[in-house]
Amino acid sequence: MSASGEYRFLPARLAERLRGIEIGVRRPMDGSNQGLHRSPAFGSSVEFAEYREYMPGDPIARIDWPVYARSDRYVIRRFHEDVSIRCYVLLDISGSMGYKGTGAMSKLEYGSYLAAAMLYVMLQQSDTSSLITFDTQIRSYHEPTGSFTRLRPMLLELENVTPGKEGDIESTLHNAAELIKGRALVVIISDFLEEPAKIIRGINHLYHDGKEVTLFHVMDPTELNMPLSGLIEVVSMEAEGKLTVDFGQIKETYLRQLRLYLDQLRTGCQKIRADYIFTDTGMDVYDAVLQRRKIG
Amino acid sequence: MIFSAPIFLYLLPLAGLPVLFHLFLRQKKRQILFPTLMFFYRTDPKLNSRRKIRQFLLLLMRVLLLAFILLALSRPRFQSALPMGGKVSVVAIVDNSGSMSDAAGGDKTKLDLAVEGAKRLIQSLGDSAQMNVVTLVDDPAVSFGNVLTSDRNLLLTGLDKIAPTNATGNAAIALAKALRLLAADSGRGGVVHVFTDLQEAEWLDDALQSESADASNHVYLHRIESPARQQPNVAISSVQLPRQKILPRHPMKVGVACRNNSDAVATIRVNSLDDQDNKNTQQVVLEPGRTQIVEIAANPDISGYHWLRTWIEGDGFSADNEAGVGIVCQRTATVLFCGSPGEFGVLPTALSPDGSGQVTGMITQFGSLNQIPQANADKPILIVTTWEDVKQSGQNSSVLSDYVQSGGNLLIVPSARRVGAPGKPPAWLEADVKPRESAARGLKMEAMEKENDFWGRIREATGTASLEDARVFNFYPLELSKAFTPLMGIDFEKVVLAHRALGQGNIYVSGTAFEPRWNTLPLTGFLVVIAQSIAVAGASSEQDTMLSLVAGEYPRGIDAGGGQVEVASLGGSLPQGRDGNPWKGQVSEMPAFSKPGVFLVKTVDKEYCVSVRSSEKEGLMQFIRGSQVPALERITHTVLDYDPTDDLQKYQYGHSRTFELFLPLVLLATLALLAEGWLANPIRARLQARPEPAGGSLPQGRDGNRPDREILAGREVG
Repeated sequence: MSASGEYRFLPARLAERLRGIEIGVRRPMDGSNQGLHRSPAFGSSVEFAEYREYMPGDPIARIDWPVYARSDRYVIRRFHEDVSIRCYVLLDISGSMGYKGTGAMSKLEYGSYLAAAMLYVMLQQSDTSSLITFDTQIRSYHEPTGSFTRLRPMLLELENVTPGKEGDIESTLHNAAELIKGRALVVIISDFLEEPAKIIRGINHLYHDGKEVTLFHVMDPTELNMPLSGLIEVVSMEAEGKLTVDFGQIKETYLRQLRLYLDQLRTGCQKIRADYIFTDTGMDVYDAVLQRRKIG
Repeated sequence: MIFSAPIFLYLLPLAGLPVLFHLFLRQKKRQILFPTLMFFYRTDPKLNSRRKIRQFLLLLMRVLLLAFILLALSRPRFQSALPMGGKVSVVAIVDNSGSMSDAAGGDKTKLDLAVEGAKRLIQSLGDSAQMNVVTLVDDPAVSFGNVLTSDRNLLLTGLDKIAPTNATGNAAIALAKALRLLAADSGRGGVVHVFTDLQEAEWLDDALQSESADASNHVYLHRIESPARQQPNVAISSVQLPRQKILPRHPMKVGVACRNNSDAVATIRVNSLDDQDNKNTQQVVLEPGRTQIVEIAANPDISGYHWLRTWIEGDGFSADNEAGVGIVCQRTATVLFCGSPGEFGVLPTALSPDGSGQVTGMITQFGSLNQIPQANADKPILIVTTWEDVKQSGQNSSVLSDYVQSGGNLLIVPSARRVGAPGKPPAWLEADVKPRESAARGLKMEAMEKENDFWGRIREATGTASLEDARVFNFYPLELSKAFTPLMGIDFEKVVLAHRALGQGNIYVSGTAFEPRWNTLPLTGFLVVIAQSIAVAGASSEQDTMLSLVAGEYPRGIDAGGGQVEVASLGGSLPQGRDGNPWKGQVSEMPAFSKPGVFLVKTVDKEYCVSVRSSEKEGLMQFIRGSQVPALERITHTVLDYDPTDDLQKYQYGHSRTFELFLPLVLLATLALLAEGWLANPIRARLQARPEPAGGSLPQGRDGNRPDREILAGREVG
């Protein structure tokens, strides 16, 4: 938190711009409170769902008497139920997220802005949200909350989080699938520097557990454009290892491999109906969130 | 391993330059942190190690490239040795030229040492060795065949037959033959051993410079030392035959030019012997460097071929001392006087004192122009006629013209009895007489144009070309065209005897009759000499078949019409074939005459008389002393001082077969260059080989296009 009392990753100006944004889901969600999102159960909303034969025990008040008058049948009118949902924001804090190339901030900083924005947007639309940080495993977990007061510790943690060492997205996603019960919205913010097939396996696990998954893929412009040249010894920010590379020679091949990787990741997400949003650290956070809103 | 240009080997350390460049100009690398190496590993999982290997290989290729180029420029050749399975091909050249008959110190001649050397060489070679022997002077009696052989006994037997010659060898031909023998052998390369004294006369020959040999051939010249001579050396440098027709019993002189080729005064004896067993010896003292012509009298008694052998005694070297002289003598000739005997004064007597040819080989005959025989064999040697008859000859004058043009001699004199005649001589004669002049006390006659052949013959016969006190009382001054050469005249103005060549014959015109009332010549013996000189002037047709050679030369100008020729000896050692019989064969295969003598080369329809004299060059004490023979610059050769104890076998090692390594090294350099090029651009090569992934598109950075999303405004976070 800054001296002015603002949260570092949710400044007032950003919060102001985010107000009014609604994030939707495509799949029916579980929820205990009335909310904006459709539930698989029938409830008391105004939106008609179906007729059902009267069964003993059903409240008599719910019998559709006009239908009885016309057809001499006892039927009950059912309505959809709208509930609030739980949103889990998974933020990758592995070593690679600490990279800052030519962008204005590191990927972790950008991811923190994005996580704060998502947490805030979900709260302000009466949903509950939770922050989970991970690298090789889940490092911190906050229970979902619908209160702005309970948002504070999450925002403060974002300010204190530092990049870890290695990351293991697949294993984390499997753990998250076990941790998160029921239907919920899972937002993963990461650079996804892992084999796409492994990432897709983890997401698939979440999807089959009834979660709706949204991926924010954060990359640095340097990673995308590779503006480097000459003989450079590249040291990995995660695993132990270094490589001497003539960037002038390898650039084309690097970009080709990057393109292939991104393509595999995007295609994999499409197949399992996960929302894939690509963003680089130079992109406006508001714009990134807005992209998610459009999908929803 | 032999390097033709070893200077490039000194540059071989330059091949290490790429290593130095690599060390000193190595690209400085910086270090950066990067989120992941995943994409680099996907590019090439072993990129770093491969890069190091690649750089090492690149360096290696560059070093190898330079090394191969420098090695190729040094022109190496690998020469397999006998223990390595190489095949030995050797040709020995034995110098049997005249100079090799000189003493080599001790009792042996240089030729003895050369033959010994060749024998040792042959005996030192293994059973599988292919060898042959070539002599510097072609000697048909010693034949070693035209292919390399492993028959050692054949070659040793042949070497025993090599005999001294008086000839100058032809090193170019011998070397070419040796190299041809090696080339005809199945394998490449070989060694030529030459046992010679390296006399400049043979080894500075320009023809040698045109000889070249494959680098796989090597020539070893075993130089046999030539000790200084104790005695001066005189050689026969030429033989001069008289320029006239040779008639039976007609005395003649042969000039033998003797030259002192040493630095000391030589006292020699010039001996001669002819086919009539006439012997003669003359003692001659010759100053150093001087030449003297020694005249040897000859007097062939009958027509046909005759020989004369002359040789020098008393000098320090004998191989240049002998000459054979062939003489072709015509049949007894006829002199036809067109007119009565009284018209010609004493001329018939001067030409044939007895009239039957017993003294001068000439018979006088009187007749008319109509009686000139048409057959060549019956034609008179001389026709003597008078101005009066010539002027009146008319149609017959063309007969005279034809006779002269075909080689006859014509003498026109004033008639001693008739005084003048009307008319003009025929135009082809281009001569006439002016009105007769007389001087009671006589006018002195002078010899004119003394360099003319006429006076040369007079000089040969009398030793002088002077008329002394000859005077003329009556004469017709001659009126001559420029074709005539005045021979005698009065006060060098009025010509009384002149000569002109017409066709192959000669015309002599005289303004005075050879009769005592006309001049004093008949009163002296000088008239006999003049008359006979006129009669024998010109060459006979038989002299076209006379060839004069220096030993070692091949006869040229023999026309056998494609048939075989046979060589017979008139005097001297006859060139013999291997079977011991006189040589017989094609003209193109005729060997050089290696020894002096007189030989008869018989074709189907013609005979040639070949006179051979020893080569003057062989006595010269000029030898190549250096370690190289300049004329052999195109042939790889080594000059060695001949050592009778030298192990000649060692020269075969490393020379039996030669492999040029230039081309393989150039190919290796090319391969290194290609590998270097491939290693220098590996990524590009792999990129071209890898297919483009389908549908791949890279999200661009904030400055790039983003086809998959809309670019929204706002650069700041909030």
